[in-house]
Amino acid sequence: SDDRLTPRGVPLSRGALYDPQKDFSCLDGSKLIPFSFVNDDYCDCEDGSDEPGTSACSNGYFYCLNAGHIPLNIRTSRVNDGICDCCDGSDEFDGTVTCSNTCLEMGRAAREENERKARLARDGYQKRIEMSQQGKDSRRSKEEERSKLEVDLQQAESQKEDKQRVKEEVEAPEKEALEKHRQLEEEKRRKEDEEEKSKSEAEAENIFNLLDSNEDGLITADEIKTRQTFDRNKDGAVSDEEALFFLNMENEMSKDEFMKTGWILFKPYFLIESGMFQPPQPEGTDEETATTQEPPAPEPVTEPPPLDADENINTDYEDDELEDSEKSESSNLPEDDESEDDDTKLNLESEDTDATRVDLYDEPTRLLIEAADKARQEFHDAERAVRDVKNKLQELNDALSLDLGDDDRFGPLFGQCFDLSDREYTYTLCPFQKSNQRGVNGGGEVHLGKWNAWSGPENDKYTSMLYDGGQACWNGPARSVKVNVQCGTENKILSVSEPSRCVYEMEFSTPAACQRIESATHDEL
Amino acid sequence: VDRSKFKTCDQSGFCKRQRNVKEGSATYEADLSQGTVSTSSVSIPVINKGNGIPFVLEVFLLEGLKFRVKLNEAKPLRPRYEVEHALLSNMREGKLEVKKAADHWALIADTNNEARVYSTPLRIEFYSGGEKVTVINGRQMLKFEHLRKKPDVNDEPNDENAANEEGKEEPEPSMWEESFGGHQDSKPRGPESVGVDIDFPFTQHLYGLPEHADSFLIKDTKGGDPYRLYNLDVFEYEVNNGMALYASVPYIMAHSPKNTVGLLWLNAAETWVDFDVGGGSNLVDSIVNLVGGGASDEKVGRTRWMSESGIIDIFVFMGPKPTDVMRQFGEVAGTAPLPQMWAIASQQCRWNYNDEEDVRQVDEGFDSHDMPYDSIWLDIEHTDGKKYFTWDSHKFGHPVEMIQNITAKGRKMVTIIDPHIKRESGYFVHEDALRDDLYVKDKTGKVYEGWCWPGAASYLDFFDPKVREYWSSRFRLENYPSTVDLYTWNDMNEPSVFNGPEVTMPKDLIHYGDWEHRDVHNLYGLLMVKATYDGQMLRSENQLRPFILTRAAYVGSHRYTSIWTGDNTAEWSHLKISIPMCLSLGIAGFAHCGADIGGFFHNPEPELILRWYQAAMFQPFVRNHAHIETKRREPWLFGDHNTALIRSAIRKRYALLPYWYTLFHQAEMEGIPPMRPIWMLFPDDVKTYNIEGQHLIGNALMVAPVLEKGASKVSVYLPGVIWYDFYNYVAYQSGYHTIPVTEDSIPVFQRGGTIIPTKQRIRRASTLMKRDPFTLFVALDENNEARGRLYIDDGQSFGYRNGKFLEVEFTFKDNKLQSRVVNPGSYATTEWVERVVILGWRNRPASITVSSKSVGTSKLEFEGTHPLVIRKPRTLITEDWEIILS
Repeated sequence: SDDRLTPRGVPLSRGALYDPQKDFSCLDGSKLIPFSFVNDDYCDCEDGSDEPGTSACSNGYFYCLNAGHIPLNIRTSRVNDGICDCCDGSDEFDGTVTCSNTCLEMGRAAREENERKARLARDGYQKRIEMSQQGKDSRRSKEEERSKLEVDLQQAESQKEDKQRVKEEVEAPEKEALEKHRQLEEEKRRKEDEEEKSKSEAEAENIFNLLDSNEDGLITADEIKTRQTFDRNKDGAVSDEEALFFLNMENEMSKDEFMKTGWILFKPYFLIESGMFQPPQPEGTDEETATTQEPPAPEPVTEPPPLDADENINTDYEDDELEDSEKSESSNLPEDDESEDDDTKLNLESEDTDATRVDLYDEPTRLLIEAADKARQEFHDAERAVRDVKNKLQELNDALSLDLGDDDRFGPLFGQCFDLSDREYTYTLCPFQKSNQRGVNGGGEVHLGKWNAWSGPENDKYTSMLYDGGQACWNGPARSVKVNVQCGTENKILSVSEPSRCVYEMEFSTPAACQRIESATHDEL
Repeated sequence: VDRSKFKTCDQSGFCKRQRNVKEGSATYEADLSQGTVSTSSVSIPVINKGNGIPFVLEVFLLEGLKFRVKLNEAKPLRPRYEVEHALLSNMREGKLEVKKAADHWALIADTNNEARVYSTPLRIEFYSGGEKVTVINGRQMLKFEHLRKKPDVNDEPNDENAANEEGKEEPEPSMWEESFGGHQDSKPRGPESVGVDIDFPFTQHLYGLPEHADSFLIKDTKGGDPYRLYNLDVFEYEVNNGMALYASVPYIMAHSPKNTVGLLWLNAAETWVDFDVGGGSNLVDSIVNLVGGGASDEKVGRTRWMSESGIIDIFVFMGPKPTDVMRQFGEVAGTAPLPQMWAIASQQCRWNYNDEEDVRQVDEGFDSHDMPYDSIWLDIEHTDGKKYFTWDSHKFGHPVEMIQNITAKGRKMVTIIDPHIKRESGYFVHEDALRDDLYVKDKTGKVYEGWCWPGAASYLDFFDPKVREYWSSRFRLENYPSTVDLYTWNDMNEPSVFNGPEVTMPKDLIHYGDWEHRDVHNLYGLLMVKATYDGQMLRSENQLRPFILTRAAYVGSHRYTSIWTGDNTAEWSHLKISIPMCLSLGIAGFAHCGADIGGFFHNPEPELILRWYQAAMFQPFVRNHAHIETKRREPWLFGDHNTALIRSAIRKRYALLPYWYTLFHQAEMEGIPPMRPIWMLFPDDVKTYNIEGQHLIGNALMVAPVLEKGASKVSVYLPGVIWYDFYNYVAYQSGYHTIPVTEDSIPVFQRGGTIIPTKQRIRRASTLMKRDPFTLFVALDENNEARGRLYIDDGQSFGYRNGKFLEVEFTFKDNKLQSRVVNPGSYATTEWVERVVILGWRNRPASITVSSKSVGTSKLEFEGTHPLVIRKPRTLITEDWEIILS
């Protein structure tokens, strides 16, 4: 073909629009001008179409043929501006600068570069296919697992229901027996208390009568002073003061008063006298307190030990069941501790006090408790099994709902992490999860953002990822990372930059981003 | 702003003392009998009758109707500082006729202008065209604190005679020491402030006194603080107040329909100025005035100037018109030299572009978004640890290559160079400064150490000529790895000292010549840029015009540097204030002024940055800049729609560059800034006196940018006769107009009677448009006439000072457009005229003919009537030509 027929700056393909035999119609149809006005260095058309070969219009394009390399459309504002933009130099023709034709070298370099890229893309694309396969396999196996788990879940749930029923069945007689037992215990204790009280009263009365040596129904100081037991300061005689102490600083004490308050003062001295009680060492002020203190009551064995705080927290786990699975994942507690509930105290009692149980309960009750404990344990196990399956399902559903690219080609990146260190920091990217930064010379880890979404343009969204909601910056935004994804034969971070404070940009190469190479480029000449 | 960091007048000892002076209290008398007269000046002894201290009053006449009044102690205890470097050294003297009368001497400059020195009490009056325009000490509020020995505290109470002795006065507060914000000022030299009232009996319309984030028209200070002039690094400054800022130019213009005068108070120490111009912040006063009806006739503008040390040195520029005053100011303070063409185009800056790759991408971004720009700037992070003249070897390891990649597209690069020097052994500037004694000293003579970007830093003493010479030599290519296409931004030169009193140097530091920092503070930034200017001259071996951007400035700094309004904020109020701030700096000589587009602190909403771009493209200095903690702000980051709108605004600037360049040349020649208050062109239209949101570019364009969020219209006042919307050609008669606006609108109007040269081929950078043809916009006046000028040169060298330029005059009259080369040029160029657009033409002409030497005589194609577009005259700009419409 003969390119002399097309005006300067017009590609051959559009040559027909520029017919020297006719007036020229601006390509936007806005005006008809003599053909001599085309490329006459004056802008007549609003769309710039009359001056493809000059800088007269500021919105036009100049076509360089660039034989040996790739043709180029440059803005006409770059025509004759003293800078060689076309490798064939055709954009600079007013003689101000001389542009050497570099198209052959550039073409060669470009072809080599293209070949390199093509190789890269080809190799990358091979790997992409593998990644996609892996991704799909992984999805399929996850889906299979999910179906399986869904069946498991049904089974586990019906199991749980069964166990609950059994539990309820055996808990009813247990409850009844325990209630009965409790009532008996209460009755027994009441009786014991009464016995104890009357025994104590009898003892007090005996003592009163003993002390009331003149049997006038009153204890006086004189009567007290006769008994060495009341020599509190151990000086060999019971003084008036010592006697008054026991009489509540009165002259005498009636039997009623003695029974109400006096006996408490006297009793320790009689216990000491009878060798049943050792007084505390006479040190400091303890002496007085010690002497007035009641002897400690023995621990009532029938009370169950109190639950400690930790165990209390878990009693309402039913409400926590839907808490994120992370918690249970990260928890180091043994599974058993997780399932404690309201019944725990009975469990604990039964575990901790096995030895006493024999003594506590009668045989039939004990058997009922044992049966109920077993049922409860089995119910808890069933419940835990349901929860485990649900957690696993949640995880699977989360993973399956991730957009891992068409064909799941980004699938294999999920679960992996990649590092890149520069002078100051090591950056970590865990695709579809999060990104972090650590100082090379120590310092804590800074959370740069967690997976949000693919953020490429609408028609090409798998070209960049957004991780956001990272650690907030002083005087700045919460950190975020935009990850630009490009074709490469390896999965790796190529570079990280921080274009503005706390807004990071990461270049990430992966075969998953490689596209199938069409055969030869059409433009190449 | 944290106001507690900065002094009020009450917290500044001398200001408090000076502000206590009452009207009529001064007791100074001139002894005319002892006065002497020379051809251009008089010298008259003055005595303060109150304490017997003798003074000398000198009044000079300078050629071109300028008076200078100097008052100093006759026998000061030690020399008092007189400002050096700020003004031109070669001021020409005028010829004075002195008429002596019993109570005064009349100093006659010409038939219209004279000064009178009255003896008792001392006062100096200035008359222009028979009107009294300026009076010094008319209200007898002169207070000149003579130097004295520090009274011995032990002796004084017993010394009965001391109080009566001549020269002794009652002690006043803070004479011998004061403290502020935990900083002690030792004040070893005692009280030495000067203050005097200066009144303008003909007007209350006073303008200027930069730099304040305040209106152009100066406000009354009654009931508030005086305006303050003390170069300070004010963090997150607020608008609409008279607090000190980065620059101080003690200069105002007083204007009325009949007369305009300029007044320069030449003192580099901390200065406060009180204004009594009506409508003060004291509400009671205003109400009293209103009730009494006293305010209505008031037209005296009263001022009082107070400086901490130095002498009284006042210049009165007699006018009588605003442009006369500008010329007179320029003859004293010099004019802003013509910048290189690239410097008046659009600049791109950020704290910081991170590395060479970042620079490459931003540069590429402008090209891929088809937005022209002319330079990219690197802030402090480009250095190796804030050591100026070095590069961070990791991020900017290939500076020369990087600069060349930028300049290959006709662009330039600018790096920041600050005056604080990192105290780090091995840093050559620091080592040189220690070895050669180049640093500012504290009061004990030790090198002063302050805190700034690098941490511990010392400050070069630019008052020392050897320091300036050293500094200049740092810019030599062999000392600073770069190319001649690298230019300089001098920041933090107030100087900023993070841990100093009011974030600057203590006043008792000692500079070269044994002057205290107190005496010279406001000059520090000027001497730094002067040394930088000389450095750039060395760099290019005197071939290229230097470019410097400064934050701190004093009167005269404009001879060396461009200026910006410092660290503003991304708020509409800051966009709005950029106009009065640059008008004020403009009349004080700073032809090349601008504000950070978008606001330095915080993030502008898209509408704000769009409007800011639109307004800024019609201000002299154009730069997008932002704080390191802000989001990226390159002009294509606000969505495609805004990108297109911003692109359109930037292109408007590039189209008008020939006009701007012509105006910058005029600024150098005549001292008239490109960005002008409207009253400069319409001095007798009082409706223009209070306008703060509109301004002129030259005498042909009126700009009324959109300054309000969500605006759908703009109110514009158009004086004169007829104007044309520069972008849609709608004609407007003079008066108030409400102009509807869309987001693409920049209300700009061409005045009927003017011709504007433009270039419509917008390239990647202004330097690439050098050979492109012109489009002339001819806006006809009511007589179908118009005039305009065009100045051209190579856009970068000093060749124009040797005649290598072209000045072209366009005249439209009698249906004929004529172009005449005023200086038969020695500047060779192929630039030509591609289009003429005539506004205000009424009928379609029968034919249009062009004639010139190169095209002969030929008929031209044309389109339309208003506008009438004449197609391709093809005449060369270097030849005379004419186009006849018939």
